[in-house]
Amino acid sequence: MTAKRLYFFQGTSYIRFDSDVNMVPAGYPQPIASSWPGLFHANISAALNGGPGRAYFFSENLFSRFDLLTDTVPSGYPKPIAGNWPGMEGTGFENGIDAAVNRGDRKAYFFRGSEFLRYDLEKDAVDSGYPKPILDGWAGLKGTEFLDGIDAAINYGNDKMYFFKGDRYVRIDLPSDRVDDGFPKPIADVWPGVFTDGIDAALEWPYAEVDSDEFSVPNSRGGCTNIPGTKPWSRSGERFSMNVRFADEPYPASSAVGEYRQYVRGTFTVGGVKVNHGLPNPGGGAPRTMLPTPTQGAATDHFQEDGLVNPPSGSNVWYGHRLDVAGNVDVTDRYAPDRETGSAYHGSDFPSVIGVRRTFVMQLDFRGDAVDRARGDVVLNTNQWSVDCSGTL
Amino acid sequence: MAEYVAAGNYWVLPTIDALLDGEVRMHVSVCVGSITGLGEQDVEVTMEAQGQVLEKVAGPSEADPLTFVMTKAISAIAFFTFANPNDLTPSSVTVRIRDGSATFDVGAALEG
Repeated sequence: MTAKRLYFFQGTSYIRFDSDVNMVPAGYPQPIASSWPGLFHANISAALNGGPGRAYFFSENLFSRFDLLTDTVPSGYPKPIAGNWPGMEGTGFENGIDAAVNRGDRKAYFFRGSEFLRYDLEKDAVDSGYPKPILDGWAGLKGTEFLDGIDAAINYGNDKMYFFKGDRYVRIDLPSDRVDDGFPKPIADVWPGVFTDGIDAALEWPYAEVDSDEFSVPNSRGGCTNIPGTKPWSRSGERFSMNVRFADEPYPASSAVGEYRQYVRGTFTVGGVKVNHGLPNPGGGAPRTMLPTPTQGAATDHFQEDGLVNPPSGSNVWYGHRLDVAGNVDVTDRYAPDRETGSAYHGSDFPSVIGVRRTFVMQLDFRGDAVDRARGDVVLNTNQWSVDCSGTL
Repeated sequence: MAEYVAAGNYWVLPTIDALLDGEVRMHVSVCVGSITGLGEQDVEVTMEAQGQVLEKVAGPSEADPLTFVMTKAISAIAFFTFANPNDLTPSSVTVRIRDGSATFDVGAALEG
C-alpha cells in the first residue's frame, strides 16, 4: 500500500498530489497561506511526517508543528531547531534543513548540504555516528548531483523513498537502502502536474485504513429488552456495541487519523404521540431535531450525527471524535491504548425509552462510519442498521 | 420546522399535539445530559389562547413522571393537558425550566 496523498512545496505555493489516482487535482498550485493556517507562508525548506497525526515543517533555523486533526499550528511555534531536536546542535543542521523524510520504522533522515543524519523519533535524538556524507548512505548516488544535497524527500510507502534535486529524482529501495536501477529520472516523466523546476519540500500525508474484518459495527446486539429501574421506571431498548481497528501499517498508514462516526434518524412515539428528540448541532447553537426515516425519493437521507447535548462531566459529546473533551473517561466511547494514537475503537450504545405506564414505539436507523480525518473525512467503512422496539413501560 | 430555544441552561421545544373538544394536549422536549437532575417539578408550562390563560389540568408529577427518550442524546419529555372549554386557538406557550424560561409563538403554526 502506498501513500495516498503527497504535498509538494515551492516558494509561496504548494501542490497536492493524489497518488492513489496519480494526479494533481484541479486548482493547484495554491498559496501556502490559504490552506495551512499558522504555518510558514514561504520558503519551507523541509517537511517531515512526524506521526502520529503530526507534521513538522522547517524554514531556515526554525520549525513548526502542524496537527492534522485540528489543521492548526499549536501555540508557541515556530521554534528554533537548536535545543528542540537533541543531537543536532553543533552539526550545522540546527541552522537549517534541506530535506527530511520518515523511514516508517521510527527513524527519520535529515539532509543538509552533502551530509545527512538519522534521527530516532522514539528516543527523540540523533543516532550516534551522525552526520555522515550522503555517499555513505547511498553509494548508488555516486556521480550524481544528489551527493551535493537533496532538495526534498518522501517515503512513498511500498518500501520506496524518493529524493528530489532540481528537475530530477531518484527512487531508493528501503530494505536494501540502494538506489533503484535507471535513476535519476526527470520529475516531469512520472509526476504530472508537480513542480518540475525544483521542489523545496515534500511530504507524504498519513491516511487511515481499516480492514473489512476489523469493522464490527454493530456488534453484540442484545435485542429489545425491558429493564426495571430504581424508581418505578422501566427502560426499554436495545444495546449494541461498535468495534473498529485502524491500521498502523504499512507506513504512512496511521491509526491516529482514523475516527468512528455514528448517525441516527427515526422516531420515538410515546403514548401515541410522536415526540421531538434533540441532537447537538456540530456548528454550535440550538440543537437539531432528529429527523424521521425519509420517504422513498427524498432529497436527503435525514441522517444526523448522534451526540449528547450539554454532556455532563465525564461524557463525550460525540461517538468517535478523538478530541472530545472527556477523552477516554467516557466508557461508552474509547480508543485503546490512548485516545490520541490508539488504533482500537470501542463504543457502546443503548437507545431506549425510560418512563412509566406509557406505550412506546421506537423506530431508529443508525449508520456507523469509519472515516479518514487526514483526507477530509473520507468514509472507509460503513454499515447501517435499525432498532425497532415497542411495548408498554 | 420549529427550533429548540434556550430556557436558562436547557434547550426546550414545545409542540401542540392535539386540539380536542375542550382541551389542548402538548409535550415539551428538553435536551438533558442525563436522566437524573431534572425532575417533574422542574418543568412548567403556561399556555395562552386568544388573550386568555388556559388552566393546566395535567402535567408531570410523581405519579406521572417525565419520560426520557435516548439515543446518545437524551430528551426529557413532559406531557401537559390544558382545559380549553371555549375551544380557543392557542397563541403562545411559555416553558419554564428552573430559573430559565422561553416563550414560543404557537399560533402561526396552528393557523397554517
